[in-house]
Amino acid sequence: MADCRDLEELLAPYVDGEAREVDCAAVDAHLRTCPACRTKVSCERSVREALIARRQSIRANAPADLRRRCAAAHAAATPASGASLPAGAGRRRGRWVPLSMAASVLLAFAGVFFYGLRGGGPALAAQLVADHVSCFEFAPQPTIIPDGRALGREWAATRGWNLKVPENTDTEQLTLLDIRRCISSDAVTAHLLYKWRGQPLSVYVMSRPYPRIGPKPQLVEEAGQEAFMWTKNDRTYAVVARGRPADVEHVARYVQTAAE
Amino acid sequence: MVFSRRSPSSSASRPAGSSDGEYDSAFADEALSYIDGLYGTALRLTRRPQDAEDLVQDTYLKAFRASKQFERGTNLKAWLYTILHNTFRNMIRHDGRNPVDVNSETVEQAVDASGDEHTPETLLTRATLDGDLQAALDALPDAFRQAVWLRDVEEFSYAEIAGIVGVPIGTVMSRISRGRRLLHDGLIRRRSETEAKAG
Repeated sequence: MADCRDLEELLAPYVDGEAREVDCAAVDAHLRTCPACRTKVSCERSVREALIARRQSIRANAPADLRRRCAAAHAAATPASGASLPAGAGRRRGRWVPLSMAASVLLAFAGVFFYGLRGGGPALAAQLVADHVSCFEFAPQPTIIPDGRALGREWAATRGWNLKVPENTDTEQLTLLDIRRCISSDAVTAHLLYKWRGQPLSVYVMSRPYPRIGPKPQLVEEAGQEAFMWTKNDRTYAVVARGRPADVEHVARYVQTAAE
Repeated sequence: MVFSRRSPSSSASRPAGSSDGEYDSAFADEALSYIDGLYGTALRLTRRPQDAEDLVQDTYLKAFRASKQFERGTNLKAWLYTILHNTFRNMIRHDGRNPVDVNSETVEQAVDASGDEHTPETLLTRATLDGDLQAALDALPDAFRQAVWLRDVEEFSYAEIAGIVGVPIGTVMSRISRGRRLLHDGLIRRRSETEAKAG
């Protein structure tokens, strides 16, 4: 006789009418002798019926403006409008690899820990450094070299604010890899991922000023990374990379000129 | 897995009879036809309309940028929902509000610890209000809400859900089952609270 726990994975297919015949028979046999599981099945069945009956009314319709912006995203993302796909760029790896559980747990701890200890610039630097490290370490390397100007246009078309994307430069050995958007409870943040001298470099553009970060740039060392931060016109900018402070500051000055 | 990405060699060639432009346009039209479902799912994930809109928009941006990696004839809807869920996982990493991994085993253990006693009640369909149903859904732990929503509202198969949320199929089945029971209990609780207020 099957144990209640053995049937746990069979109940959904049983209720949905998709269990194999042999599994169905096993569940039926168990239910004849187990009132608790009979109750489970009837609860699950009634919930499924309620959800199916209410399917249309609990589904939301996408707002018209969102529909328009998503259609615009297609126009902005198609090659005709300028996104470049260099010859020979392989596409072996998908770009959306789920973060491993261990990684996200670690990150969550890091963010909470640092934020709780300090305020102002160092707290923001700590969060950005944690994000920078995890974004590069746990995300696959992009295999398509993006066109910064096209991504900037995409951003403007879909976000409603202009994002100046610093161009690739051989002098600084800076190459754009990707642009991502971060959600935080108080700001919209563009995260620009670059390769700098073969190493990861992040540029963050945040939609609001932060306390204790002014127009005069400050350089904060955090967990072996340098964070160069400043504000301009109600936006906060940050460049995060590992390297000699003077070198990071040098490349950050280039970014500052190109991004503002 | 119900879909696959083009390999580098196959992405170089297109089936005869359609130009790049026609293909892109047909791809975009079909992708955009899923926007209501994606938005509703995003709302259940983020619980905030503004975040849901951002999530859907990011999903489309990524999908359009990567449209050449989508294998024609495979399941575009499941592919889009996979991007949506992965994008959501990336988003919550940046957000101090919600540092919990949606697939954490601790969620399952927490539900186990809460016991499994249920009141028999089979007349939910007619008496349940949409608002109650949505509130009870939103009160479920993320992993269970996603599984039940994708199955009973979005009508995905167990294998598709496993691909979308990135967990084994057996886990999907048990989450659906337990998620439905949690939802049932939440609905019964809500109803008795309403009756207590009215009475």
